[in-house]
Amino acid sequence: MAKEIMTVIKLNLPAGAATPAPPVGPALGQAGVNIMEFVKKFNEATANQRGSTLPVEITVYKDRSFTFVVKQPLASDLIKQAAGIESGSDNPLRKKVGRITREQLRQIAERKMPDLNANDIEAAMRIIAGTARSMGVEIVD
Amino acid sequence: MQDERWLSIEVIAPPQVWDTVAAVMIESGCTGVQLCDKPPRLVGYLPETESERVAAIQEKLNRLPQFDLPPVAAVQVQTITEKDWHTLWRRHFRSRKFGQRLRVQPSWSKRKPEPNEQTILLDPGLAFGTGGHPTTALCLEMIDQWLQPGMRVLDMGTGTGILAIACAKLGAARVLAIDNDPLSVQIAQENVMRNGVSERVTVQLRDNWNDLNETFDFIACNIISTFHIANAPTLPPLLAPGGYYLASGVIGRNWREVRKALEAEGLTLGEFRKRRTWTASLFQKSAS
Repeated sequence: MAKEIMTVIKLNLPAGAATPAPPVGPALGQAGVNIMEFVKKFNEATANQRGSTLPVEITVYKDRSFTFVVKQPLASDLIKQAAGIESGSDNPLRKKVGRITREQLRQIAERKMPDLNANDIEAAMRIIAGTARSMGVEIVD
Repeated sequence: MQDERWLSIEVIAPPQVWDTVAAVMIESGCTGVQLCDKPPRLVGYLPETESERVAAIQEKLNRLPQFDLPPVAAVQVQTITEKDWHTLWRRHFRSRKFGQRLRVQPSWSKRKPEPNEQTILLDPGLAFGTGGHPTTALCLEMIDQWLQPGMRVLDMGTGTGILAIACAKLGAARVLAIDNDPLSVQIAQENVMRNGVSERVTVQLRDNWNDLNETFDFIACNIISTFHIANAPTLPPLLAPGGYYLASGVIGRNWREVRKALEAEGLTLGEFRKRRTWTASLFQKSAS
């Protein structure tokens, strides 16, 4: 089909629980995207990942039709899953709330590589490790 | 949600730490964030009544360099008011007329149809084809011009079903609408029902027309140049004598090649239209 792209909107949204409130409303409203249609379809597509925050890329075409692609959950969600914890530490330097192995770190970095804009897996691992430490999650061998 | 006031919180940060910053903002109460380029930044929102959370976000973000993460710039906060998120987007899509008789109207429009006008009820969504793109607009105008009551129609790549519905509304005896995308088929089916033409329009999931054992008086095909060229050889057996082929989705520089491929199969050009860079053309099979 002769689709001309007008804009691409990138959002991070709660899986299965998006609403028309900001950021969805202002971002999609300005681009002329059918907000309720998006919210319904996004929630339907991501209901089985509830609890995670998911990056989503919405491509808006010139005739205001749109498509969207859901990406891997936020790194912090993958870290929480791997460490088996509900939330990060409120004082990450002093209070450690969990740990992940270097192997788990590598797996998360591999899953997130396409979205991270990192040059290589080592760079991606450094970013994920930093994120883990900022949540009070230690990296162990 | 009427007239609620929100704080927009903007954080300039390199894409490598978007996930980390997003997590901080979401854990502090933002219901999601938007990621923007030029400059790379994240925008999150909090209800104005929760402004005390902004300081917590700022404090957490200030700590990121302690964990070998790149620093992020200071947080900028603005107050915004919006009347109704649900309907803001509708300003971009209005009732529009195509040719002499066709009108595409969204569900929220209260406009009354004029005499002789056929209304297609359609809201933009996940399938292509709302009339907002020149290729669809050209097809609607040419259908208005050339479709005659009683014709048997094939709509190849139906998307929303807009062209199939237009043909049925203008008196086609039967319309077969096909698409290779299951979601489009579902949406087209809903639109066909909504427009009250389900008795004459059938929507099917197919990725080609090769195994159709019937002929049509009018085939509308709003796809791309390469499709017209590749499928030209299989087209003549599908067209009834004197039948029309509407070739759309063709940009100006590919138009000659599409014409050559269709003329090589014995079709003759009936009408050519161009809008911006897009062309649509109507070819006819000889009547004998």
